[in-house]
Amino acid sequence: MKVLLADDSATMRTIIRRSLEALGFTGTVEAADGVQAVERFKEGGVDLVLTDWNMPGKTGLEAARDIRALDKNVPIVMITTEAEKARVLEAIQAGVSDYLVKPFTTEALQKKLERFVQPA
Amino acid sequence: MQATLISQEQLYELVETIWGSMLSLPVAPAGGDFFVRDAAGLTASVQITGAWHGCVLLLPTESFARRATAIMLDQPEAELQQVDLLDAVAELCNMIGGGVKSLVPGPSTLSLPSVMQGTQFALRMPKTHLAAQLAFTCDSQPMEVRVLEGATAAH
Repeated sequence: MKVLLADDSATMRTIIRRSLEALGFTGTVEAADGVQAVERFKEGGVDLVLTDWNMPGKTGLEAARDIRALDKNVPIVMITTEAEKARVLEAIQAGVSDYLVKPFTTEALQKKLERFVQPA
Repeated sequence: MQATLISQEQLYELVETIWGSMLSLPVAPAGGDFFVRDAAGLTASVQITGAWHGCVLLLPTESFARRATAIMLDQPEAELQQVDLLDAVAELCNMIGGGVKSLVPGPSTLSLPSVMQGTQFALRMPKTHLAAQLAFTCDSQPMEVRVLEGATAAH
C-alpha cells in the first residue's frame, strides 16, 4: 500500500506519517508542496493520496485536480484547517474523495481511510 | 470601536482543543497576567482575507515551543533544530487561524503561516484593531493568542 502524503509542514508530515504507521500503512512517500505531489504521483503505484490544502506553489486543491485528471479512481483525502462547508464543496468538486479537519486523532484518520483502503 | 466577532471564550475553546489534540497538554487561563516576551521572541502569524480580514498571532515562549515540538515530532528536545521549532509553532498558529476563520463571515482564505524571531520589530497591519486576546499557560509557560481584525464590508 503506497500512500502519497503532501503537506508543506514537516511537522505535520511526521505526525500524519506516524498515524499512518500506527494504522499499518508503512509505504508512505512525501511531498512538501502540490508540484512535488503531482510529480510523486506520476512516478506511479500510489494507492491513496493525503494532501494539505494550503501549500506554497501549487495548492493541495490544484494538485488534487491534476491527480484526478490522471487517475479517476485513486482516493484523495484532504487534511486541512479549512473547515467551512463552501471549502469542503470546492474540494469535492475538484475531485477530493473525503475531508479531514486539523487537528485530528489517529482514530478519525482511520475512519476516513477505511472507507477506501486497508493497510497491506 | 467595531463589534468583535470572536470572544475570548471561543478563542480559549479553540486553543484548548488544538493543544489537547496535538500536544495532549492542558491549558489554563492566565487571568490578568500580562505576557512577558522571552529573549527568543517567537511570533507566529497567519492572515485571513476575504469577507472578513485580519490576522491571528501566536506568541509562545521558546521553552514551550521546544516542548511542543518535541511532543509533535516525538523526539527528545535536545535533538531538535531551530527550524523544527519554527515549523511546529507555525502549524499550531495555522490551526488556530483555521478555527478563527470558521468563526468569522466567509468566504475567506487563509494564508500560509509565518514565524518571526526576535523582539526588535514592529508589526503594522493598516486599519486593524485588536479584536480578541487570550493569555494562557500551558506546561507552566505563558503564551498569548491575538486576533487583529480589519475593517471590512461585513461591519
